[in-house]
This record gives sequence, C-alpha cells and structure tokens, in this order.
Amino acid sequence: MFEIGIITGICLLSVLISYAAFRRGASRSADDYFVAGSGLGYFVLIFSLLASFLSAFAMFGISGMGYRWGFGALFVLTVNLVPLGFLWYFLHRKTFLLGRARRWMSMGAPFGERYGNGMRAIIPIVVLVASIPYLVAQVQGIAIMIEAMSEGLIPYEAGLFFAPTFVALYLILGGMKGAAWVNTVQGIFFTVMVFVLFFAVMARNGGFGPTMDIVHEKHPELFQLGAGGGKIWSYPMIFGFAAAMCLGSVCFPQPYMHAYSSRSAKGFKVMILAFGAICVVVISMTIMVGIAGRTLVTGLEGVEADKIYGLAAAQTLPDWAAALAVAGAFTAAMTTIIGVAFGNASNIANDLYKLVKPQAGPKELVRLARVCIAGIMVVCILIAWIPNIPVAELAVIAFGIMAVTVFPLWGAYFWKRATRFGAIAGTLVGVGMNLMFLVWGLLGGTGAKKMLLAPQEFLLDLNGFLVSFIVAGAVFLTVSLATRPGPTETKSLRLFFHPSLD
Amino acid sequence: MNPKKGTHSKRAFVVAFIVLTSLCWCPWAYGTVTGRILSIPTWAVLAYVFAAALFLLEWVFLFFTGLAVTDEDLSGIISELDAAGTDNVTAAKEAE
Repeated sequence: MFEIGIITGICLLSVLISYAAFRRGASRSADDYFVAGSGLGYFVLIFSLLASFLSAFAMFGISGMGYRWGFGALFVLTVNLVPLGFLWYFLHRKTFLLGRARRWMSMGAPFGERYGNGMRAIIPIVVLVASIPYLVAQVQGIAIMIEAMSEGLIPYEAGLFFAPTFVALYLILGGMKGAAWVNTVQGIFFTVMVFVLFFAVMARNGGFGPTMDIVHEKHPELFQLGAGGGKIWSYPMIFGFAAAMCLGSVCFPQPYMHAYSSRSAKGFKVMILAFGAICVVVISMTIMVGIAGRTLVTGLEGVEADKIYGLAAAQTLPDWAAALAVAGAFTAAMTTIIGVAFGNASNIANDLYKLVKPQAGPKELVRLARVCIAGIMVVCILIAWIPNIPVAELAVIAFGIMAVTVFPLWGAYFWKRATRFGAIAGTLVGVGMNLMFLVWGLLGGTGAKKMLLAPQEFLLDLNGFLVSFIVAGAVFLTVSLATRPGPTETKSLRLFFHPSLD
Repeated sequence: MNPKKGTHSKRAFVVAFIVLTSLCWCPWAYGTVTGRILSIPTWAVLAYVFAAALFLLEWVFLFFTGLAVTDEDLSGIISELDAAGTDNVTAAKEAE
C-alpha cells in the first residue's frame, strides 16, 4: 500500500500543479485551454512531449523485451527514434508556422484547410479509433498495477477508476498548459527513477561491465542479432519494429498539439531534437535493466518477462525506493493517457463539432472538450471492464493507423497536386488494411501484434504495418494523380505554399 | 544565404539524414560484426554511433546552418501568413 500512497500523492500534487499552471497568467480563452496560448518554453515542451509518448510499455514492456531478446530491443524505442529530429522538423515546420498564423488548435485543422471538410471529419475519427485501444491498454495496465501493489486490497475494477479520475481532473482543470506541466513533473520523476534503478541493478554485480560479462557468459544469444535460428532480431523484424514505431510517432496528436503550443521557433526545434536523444538514454537503460535482470531472476517466460522491471527494483532497492521506481512506470502510463486523451478531445471539439456548428464560440468549445475528456475516460473504463477483450493486442494498431496519415500530411505541405480524393482514399485504405490484418491476426491464431509487427512470409517478409503503409502511400499518389484538385485544394495553395514558408 | 547554395546544402543534409536513418532503422552491413566494446555488442555500439552522428547532424542543421526557421524570421513569416490567410478567407467568401 506504500506504493499506492506515493502514487496518489504524486497525482494529487499534479492536480494542484495543473490548476496553478493554467491559472497563472491565463485569460481562459480557447487558445489558452487548447494550445496553452502558444506560450510553452522548451524545457516544458521537451518533457511534456517525452512523457506523453512514453507509456508503461517503455518501462515494463521494453525491459521485458531486453530480458527475453537482448540488445536487439535497441531498435524498438531508442536509436530508431533519433530520426524524429528531422522527420518532425520537415513534416511539422509548416504545422508550427501555419498553426500559429491560423490559430489552429487541433490535428484536423491542417487537413481541413488543405483538403476540405471531408478530411477534417475523417482525421479525428481515425485518431479516435486508433487511440481508444491504446488508452484502454494504459487504463487496464494501471488497474492491474494497483491490484498487484495493494496485494489485492484494491480490486481491478476499482483500480480502473484511478487513472481516468486524475486525468480528467488534470485536463478539465488545466487544459494544455496544465497537462504540459503535469507531464513535465511526472516525466522528470520517471526519468530519475529509471536512472536510480539502472545504477542499483548494475551495482549489484560490481558495475556495468561485470554485470554484462556475467550475462554474456550465460546468455550469449542476448548479444546477437538473428538468434533463435535467425528469427529473433532478423533484419526484417528489426526494420518492421523500428519503422513502425518511428513513423507512427510522427503522426500522433501530441506533436501537433506541442507544435501549436511552442512559444518560439527555438523551443520547437529543441523539443523535436531532444526527444530522440533522451529516448536513447532513458530507454537504453530500461533495456539494460531487463538484460541485467537475467542475473537477478531466472525463468521468466513470455509476458511474465514484463515483470522484470518491478522484480529488479524489489531486489536491488530498499522497499521505499522500489516503490518509487514502480510509481515511475505508473506515471509514464498516466502521462500517455493525458497526451492522447487531450489530443482527441481537441480534435472532437475543434474539428467535428465546429463542422456541425461553425458559429460555436470559444467557451462552448472549451466546455465541449471538457465533456469529451470525461466521455473518453468513461468509454475507456467501460471497455476495460470487459476482461476478455485483448486490449494489449488491439493497442498495437494505434501506430499503424496513425502512420498512414503521413501521406496526406506530406501532400498538404509539399505536393501541390495532392487532392482530397487521394487523401481520403489513402487514409481509408491504410486504416482498412491495418484493421484487416488485425482481425486476420486475431482470428487466424497468429496474433494481432505478430501480424502487424513481425515479418510474415506471405507478405514478402514485411509486416502488416509496412504493407498497409506502402499501399496507403501508393493509393494516395495514384488517386491524387487520377483526380483534379477542387476549389478548396486550389485556394489552399496560396497559404500552404506561401513564399515565406520556403 | 544564397538560395541556390541553400537548396544544395538542404539536399545534402536530406541525403545524409536518409542514409543515417536507414542505419538507425536496421543494422544493414554492420549487424554481422561480432565482438564486444565496453561490454556491449559491437553492432550495438555502431548503432549508437550512427544515432549520435544523426543527432549531431540534426543539431547542426536546426541551429547552425541558417536553413531552419529561426525566431528572428518568425514574426515576419507569421504576419505574411496572417495576411495570406485573410486573403484566402475573403476569396472563399467572394467565391461563395
């Protein structure tokens, strides 16, 4: 129960921070609520973006992957994310500049201005479909953690309310500014705890070198690529994971919302540059905690390996510090919920509702966004309540679905010939193919995660994600070339290809 | 900066970014290197080296080349886009 006390304390403190951050200097306009009045400095931007992306998977899942499969996990959430520095810059430079000039407050805004209302309506729906399983997986994970940490005193069903209640409080009270500050505080907290755990685990065997020597002696396969008869960390497997995680990250709502919220160009650039570098350092440590975990705990198989993070903390740190380390993973899950839920609420209010009621005022939009946050949290609790839904499997779809929106985004900013038909067709085909592979994996016994992320022989050794991505791109290009730009696309060129943006 | 020179530099950066990205997304060629450096696999060290090189290149591109947007340019760009946006809205209303 000590851990629960610490976590509740952190969450309550975060509610205060969220509210204080929003109240401080805020005029409570829609701009303040949705994009923090475009006033966030780079320190807050960096940690807020980092925390909103790194979920409990970055702690438990990745250390479990290190434990089971070794150093190849470096290509899942570390070195493969460094390209985001330039990918985000090239794809979101115009999001940052046009967003500020046009006062955009949602992910659908650039698509709406460039391609018209069809895409403006599709984007929030696609993002919502992709992110609900992802959010539910976090809510479920937190409930499971609470049940385990309280040794069954707090049942799973009661634990389901914990994260949604606090997230709703942060976001309803504080909006983007509050969310960014909460993410920053919690992001720093879990980063520090990863450092503490890493050094504690390595110190157990006399330092990093001796620890790795022991593991290498007993498990040399963890230091190899293509172990297990060439299947574990084969090149197609590595490329599939690396590309899926990186390209999916480009298109999540978080980079849009953070680009709109940046106070300065320097802040925007520092944020996108620092993200990959911090991931390399922090996530490498969690992978190595998992690898070193082989010296502490033996015999963890399959998903059981995901427990290595908590077990390593329990064996190498005093009880109170181990509790803090596990609380770090807990806050990582919370901040991901904050980032994704807020992005969706902004999309629904500013894109979907604005389409239905164009004359809606700022206060009405803010009110609606608050209701949406509460609604999204309720939906997550209801879905998580049904224990047989394979949410963790379904959550993997988020990256694949988000990634297919990269083509219309690229077309909006860089290809004058892009049409709304191409954008809509490419997005729908890409989403449809991801869903098809998901169902195929679930019903066919392969598993959704394997079908979408592991290389499949019948797909020329590519995974379902990459095939959907390539087909979505081909459809976008072909349909755009086969159709003519309408008045909306033609008019938008004046703004999207303005000489000042060159 | 000379616009032509700027375009060439930008292209050179993009090519370098793509090459390094492909090395960060898959250990083509260097994945077969065996042995260990500093207790971790040599191929992992090489992956870190490529990631570090990409990070440094991104840093140089974003902050030291004049090719990326800066705060000095920001207000000018925003006012021009503001004006273009207003024209766009007016044109759309006229078209209606």
